[in-house]
Amino acid sequence: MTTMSPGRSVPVNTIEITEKAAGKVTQFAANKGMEKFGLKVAVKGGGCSGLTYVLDIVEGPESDDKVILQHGVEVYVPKKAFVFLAGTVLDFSDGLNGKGFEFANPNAAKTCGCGTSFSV
Amino acid sequence: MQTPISTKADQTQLDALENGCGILLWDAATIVQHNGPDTLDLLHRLTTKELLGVTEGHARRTALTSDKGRVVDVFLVAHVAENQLLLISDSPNSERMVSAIDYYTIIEDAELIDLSKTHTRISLVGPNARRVVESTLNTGIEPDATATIAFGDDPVYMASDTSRGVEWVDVIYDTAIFSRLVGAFGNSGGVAVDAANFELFRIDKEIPGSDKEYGEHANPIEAGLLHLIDWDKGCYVGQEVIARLDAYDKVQRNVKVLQSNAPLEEGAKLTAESKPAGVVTSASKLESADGNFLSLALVRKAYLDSDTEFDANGTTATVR
Repeated sequence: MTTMSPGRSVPVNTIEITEKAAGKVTQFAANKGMEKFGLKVAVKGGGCSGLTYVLDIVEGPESDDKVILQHGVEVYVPKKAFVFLAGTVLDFSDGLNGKGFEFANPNAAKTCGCGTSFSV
Repeated sequence: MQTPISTKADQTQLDALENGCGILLWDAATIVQHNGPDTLDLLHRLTTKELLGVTEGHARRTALTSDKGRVVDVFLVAHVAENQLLLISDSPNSERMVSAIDYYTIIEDAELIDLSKTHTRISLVGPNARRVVESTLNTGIEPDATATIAFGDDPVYMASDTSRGVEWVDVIYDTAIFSRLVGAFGNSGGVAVDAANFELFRIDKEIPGSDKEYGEHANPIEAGLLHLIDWDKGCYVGQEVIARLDAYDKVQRNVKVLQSNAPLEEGAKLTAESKPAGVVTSASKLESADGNFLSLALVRKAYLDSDTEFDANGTTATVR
C-alpha cells in the first residue's frame, strides 16, 4: 500500500476506486468466500508522517460511514476520515515492481519514505 | 539600605531530594484521563516508546513528536485500570497534549478528559520516595508501576517513573483533598521542596525540562531524551526524521550543565571565541554550596568538552 502523486482530478466530495483496484477487491473477497462485502477505506493516527491509511474488506458499512459505489464495489469511508481522503484515487499496481494498493491523495502535503503514512 | 534577598540554595531541601524524599507540589501540570479500548494502541503508534507492553498496573514515559521530529510533549502513560490511562506531563499547557492526541484520534474508540484543572499533582522525588508513599498510604508501589487507593472517599492515583534517573513517584488526586495528603506525606518523612530548589536539583541532575530543554524547538536526541526512544518499535510520528538524524549523525547540539559565578539568563546566547556556541535553556538563580550557579544549555557539538568557556551576555560560564 503506497502513496502516488495525483495524476488526474477527482471531485473533492468523493473518492475514486479504479476498475483495477475494484477487481482486486472483488478477487480478495471471493478468496475469503465473502458474498456480501465492501471495502473499508479509513485513516488512523500513526506512522512517520502522522496519518496512516487503513484498508479492510468488510461485510457492510458502519452507521457513520459514507458509502460510495464504484465498479460494482461499495467503498465505506468513516465520516471523520473523509476529510483526510476527499478527492483520493485508489489504484492497484501489480507485477514484479507492483506495490499493491496505491493512494493518490490530494490532501497529502508530505508522505513518509515507504508511502504508508502522510500528513496534511 | 535594602536587605539583599538570599540566593542561597536550601540544603535541607536539596538533601531531601538527594538522600531522602522531596515533595514537589506542582502549580500547573498536564493531567489527562484517556479512556477506551484503543488508547494504548493509539499512543503506541504516535509516540517514541514501545507501549503495547504497558499492561494494567504499569507505567512508562514516552515522547510525542511532530512529523518534523520536534518534541510536542513528554508524558508518563500510567495504565491505572482496564481501558483507562492517566497521562501526566510536566507541561502547564494541557491543551497542547489534548489537541495533539485528539487530532490523531480518527477511527479509534478513545476519549480524552482533561483533569488538569480539577486534580492536583505531587511528585515525590528521592531514594526514599516509594518508601514514603508506602508508609503514608499503606500501599507499596514497584518501579514503573501504578496503584490506586482510596484516601477517605477519594481515589488517589500513584505512578512511579524510573526514566529520569532518580526515584520518582507521581501522585494524582482531587484538588479538594490536597492539603490533607501533603501533610500526611510530610509526617512520613517527606520534605516540602519549593520550585526554585527543585529547579536547581533538576539542572544538577541534567533532567530535561518542559519548554526548556525540550519543546517544539528541539528534537528528542539533542534534548537529552535519547532514553525515551525505542529504535526497534517501528513507525511513530516523526520516526523517519529522528532515525535519519541518528543514522547520519546529524544532531548538532547536546544538553550540558554549565557553571558560572553569577546567575545566567534563560535564552542567553552562548559564544565561544566569538562564534555562536549554543543557548541557555534553564538557569538557576540559587547559589550552590560551592558558590557556583548552575544552568542547562543546548550546546553545539564542537564545544561539549568539560571546562569549555563561553560568554553568556557578559557572564563567563564553563561546561561542567
